[in-house]
Amino acid sequence: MTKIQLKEQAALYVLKELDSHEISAFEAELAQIEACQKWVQEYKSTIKQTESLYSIAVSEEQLHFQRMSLRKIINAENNKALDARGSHLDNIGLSDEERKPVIHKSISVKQPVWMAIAAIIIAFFLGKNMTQKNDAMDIIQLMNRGLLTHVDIQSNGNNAQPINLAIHASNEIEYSGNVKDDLIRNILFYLLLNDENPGKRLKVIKLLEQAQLKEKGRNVLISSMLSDANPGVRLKSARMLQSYIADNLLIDACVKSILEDENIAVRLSAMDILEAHPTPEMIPALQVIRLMDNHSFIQSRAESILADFEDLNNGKIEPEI
Amino acid sequence: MKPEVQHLILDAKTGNAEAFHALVAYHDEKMMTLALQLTRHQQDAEDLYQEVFLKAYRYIGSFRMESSFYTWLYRIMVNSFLNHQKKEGKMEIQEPSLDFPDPIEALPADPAPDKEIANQINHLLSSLPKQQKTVFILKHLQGLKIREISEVMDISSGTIKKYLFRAMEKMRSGLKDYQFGRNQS
Repeated sequence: MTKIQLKEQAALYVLKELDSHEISAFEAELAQIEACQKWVQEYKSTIKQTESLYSIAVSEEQLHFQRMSLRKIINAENNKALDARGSHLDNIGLSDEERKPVIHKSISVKQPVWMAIAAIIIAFFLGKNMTQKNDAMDIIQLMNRGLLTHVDIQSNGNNAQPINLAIHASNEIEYSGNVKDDLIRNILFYLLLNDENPGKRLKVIKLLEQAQLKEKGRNVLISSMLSDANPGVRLKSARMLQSYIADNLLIDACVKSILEDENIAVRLSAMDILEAHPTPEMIPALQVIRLMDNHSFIQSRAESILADFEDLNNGKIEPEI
Repeated sequence: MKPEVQHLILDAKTGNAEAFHALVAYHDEKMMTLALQLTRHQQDAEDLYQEVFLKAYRYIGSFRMESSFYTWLYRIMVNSFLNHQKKEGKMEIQEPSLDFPDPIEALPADPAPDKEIANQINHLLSSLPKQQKTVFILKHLQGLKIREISEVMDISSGTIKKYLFRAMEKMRSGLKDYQFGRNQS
């Protein structure tokens, strides 16, 4: 073996990228050649130093911010695609004469929205309820188009009292309803995922808590439990999910939460869900926590859930780690 | 691939944006870490993150589920990063400057490397050819196997080994004095 080949083998040996055959051959050389031993030592040291310098911990806040930005970009892209599809459909089968108003429509694309908003405001001030359905459609459109950028919530926390929303879009809309109203709920879900103000997201989850969601908004709550930067929001999401049917997605989200969440209360809530719906897939995570967690009561909680598994399986627990 | 992730991918492939966002939440920590390691620059890393997931959203329909979702995302990120370097020369890794906030410099490291060694490592890594540097980061800092890097970069394992060895050798050679005392060679 040439010097360069030996060096390459030394590097791959340190990287654990040699097969068993190559390892035996290289270790024979290593035992005899001093230079080889030196290279191995230096490669190891190089890796150790580089790894320690480049170890990066990305904060949950940073990720949350990026996820929200991505959500906005994707929403905008979807709306653009919808607009393009709309104008394409409008153009199908029209004569030149007929195309004129279509071109006009596509140029002033915001006009229907403005008109709808104006109608909503007029109806609101006239106190007429007949436009409620149309308002709902308009607000949904605003949400889908990403125009729902800022919403103020006014609620006294009383379930029986209406929630008033002031929506600042191209124009201002005021909307009133209670948490049983589908549209109010959808706006609240939207805010839970999109609003940048952690205090407002907490307010939103508290309002949603009052609604009997009955499996609605499950993915929103899972996403919120996993990724909201505000621990209060994560905790409330986890608690609300306790009343949901625990499918694989929810179980997996809870496993991720008990392993990774920095907040003990959130982890305990996720553990409650796991405890109520034991599946073998959660055993390794619980075993890791039982052995390695920094908090003794979290460890003992994992221990107690694992003990339930043993009871269910005649004293046996699989898979062992 | 976990069944839950598989389920989310299938949903996302049908255009379910929420399923895609759930996939992002599952995978983005590693992707942001890689973006920071590749670019060594906060804003560039954030741009790279957005670009990768936006591309993933646009092209998830073409993801054939033959590789892991991570491998697919890594591939998008590495290609985007290399393309940026090639086309614009904009995302070149820069040596951390005193005037310039370095997100990585501020992070705790164990054991804490000497400032001089840290500068030397940054200098050596930034002077590696981009392919070697990418392979080195994927191997050491992301913990991928050579076989996986080969899949991500669409280059043979033999070539990856060569890149890796050359990068290792340059780093070893450049750090020799710092590792074993300045007086030794």
